[in-house]
Amino acid sequence: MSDAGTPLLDFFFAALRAIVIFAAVLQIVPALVYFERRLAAWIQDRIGPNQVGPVGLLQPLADVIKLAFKEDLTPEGVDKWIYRLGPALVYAPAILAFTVIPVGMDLQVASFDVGVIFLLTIGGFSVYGLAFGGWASNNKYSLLGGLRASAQLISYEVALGLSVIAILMTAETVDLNSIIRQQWAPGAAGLLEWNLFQQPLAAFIFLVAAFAETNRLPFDLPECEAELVGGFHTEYTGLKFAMFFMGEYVAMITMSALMVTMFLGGWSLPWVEIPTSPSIVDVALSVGIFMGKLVLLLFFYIWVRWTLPRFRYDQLMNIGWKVFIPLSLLNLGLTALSGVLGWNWLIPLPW
Amino acid sequence: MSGWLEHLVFGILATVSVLSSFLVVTRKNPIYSALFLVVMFAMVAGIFMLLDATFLGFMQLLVYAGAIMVLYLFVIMLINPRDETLPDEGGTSEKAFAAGVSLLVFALLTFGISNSDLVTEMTTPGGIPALAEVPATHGAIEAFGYELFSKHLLVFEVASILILVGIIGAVHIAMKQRPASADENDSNEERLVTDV
Repeated sequence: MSDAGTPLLDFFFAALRAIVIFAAVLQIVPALVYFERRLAAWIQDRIGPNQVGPVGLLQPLADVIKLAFKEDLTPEGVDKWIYRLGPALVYAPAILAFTVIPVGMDLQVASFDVGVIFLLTIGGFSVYGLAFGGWASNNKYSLLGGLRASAQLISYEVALGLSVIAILMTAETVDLNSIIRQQWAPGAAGLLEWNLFQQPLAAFIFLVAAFAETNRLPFDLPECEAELVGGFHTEYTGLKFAMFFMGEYVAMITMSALMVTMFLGGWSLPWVEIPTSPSIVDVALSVGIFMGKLVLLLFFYIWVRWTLPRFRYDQLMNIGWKVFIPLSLLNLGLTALSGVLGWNWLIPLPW
Repeated sequence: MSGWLEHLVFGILATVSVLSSFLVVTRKNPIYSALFLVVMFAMVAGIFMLLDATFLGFMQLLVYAGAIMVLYLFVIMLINPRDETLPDEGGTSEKAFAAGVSLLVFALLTFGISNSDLVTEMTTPGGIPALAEVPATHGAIEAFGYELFSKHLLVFEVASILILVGIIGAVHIAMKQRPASADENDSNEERLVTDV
């Protein structure tokens, strides 16, 4: 894709990729919100938003207009600088982390030699936005939300990171495109090459930790409305609130995209041969495959949200420290052992 | 990267890191100090990346800015310092003394570094290898790993033992403070966390 000769042209293509991919991710957000509300209604046997436009499709637009024209209130007693910084610090890392995700065949905004480590590092920064936002609001519910967010994110980041390391150990690379290529094998049996089946424990830990990292139900304790009004975003209105909200959804998309890349074969499908010199059609198809998997995973996120009840905060911490971190360490140990013995401990299954 | 651009980026990173580390000690509110310390870590990570040590730079961000500072911030937020509740800090003489000590350390470091053999070697013409002689993998994860687990294995192991001792110490201190009939939480930190 980037066969440009001069640095200037390289720069131009990089900027183009950044604008197109980031804009596309942002466009998914309103669609996702609509999708979520309709699905929630369906799960709860309601009708959901169906009045604005055909089958309610213009509802997200109406929501955005409402948010943009709301009065931007700054409550008294807030720490003005940090209060303003909060939403930006949630939103920016979430979108920046998407940089390294290959959305199609070798197609990503930028490729670093640290690949997935970049994503984990930058994604982890959103905790500052939640904590600062909660603290600066000068409201005890916000402060509690911010505290919960910082403790929760730090705890689950350990399990998340350890499950990713297990994948990196078997892949022996941090380059996400190589990780995808390693998950490909021809035919239906190629499905079993997906890390979801090669590393089921890591996949499970990653999935749960991703829910906790993105503050999604059943782990949305930092903003749990039954206890904390709105948690860290209680005092925010208008576009500042929208930035928190968008940040959460973008983080969800980024985490799902990483999950697709690391565990579900990314832009590849077992039945489709990976061409060595891809044409533009091949790249477009691979983007389609990636999007299809992403939508399925986002559906799963929403499905879980409207199915499971919320955990209690002490339960959340206990599961994190006493179940998921030991489990991920065990997984890491088993992976290392199987690597040393050259022995694939999951393959001797009947298939 | 071309020469002048590298110098420009280094200039920005260096200026902002010095400025923000100055702000870390001068801000009255510890939340701001924490914020500027994070900025400083990010700038230092940027300098590492400028030196092609991308992996090291990201580790600096992941470990210091992403994990350690979040724990600091957590503790600061539990204290919940507000400008109006913070006590006035020490007088002029105390500040002057602190500035004097800092300047002394700065002078010592400057003297030490500028007189070190390594720097003398590097600043003499032909002292550092030409860019072409630096392997392309310099600073990459593979090179980093090989160096760490071969040449510096002993230091690496000693560091891990140090961290292990730290963990055991923390658990021990937390266990001691727990009354015999306490709840089932394992460590002080965890109890703190669950109380939130």
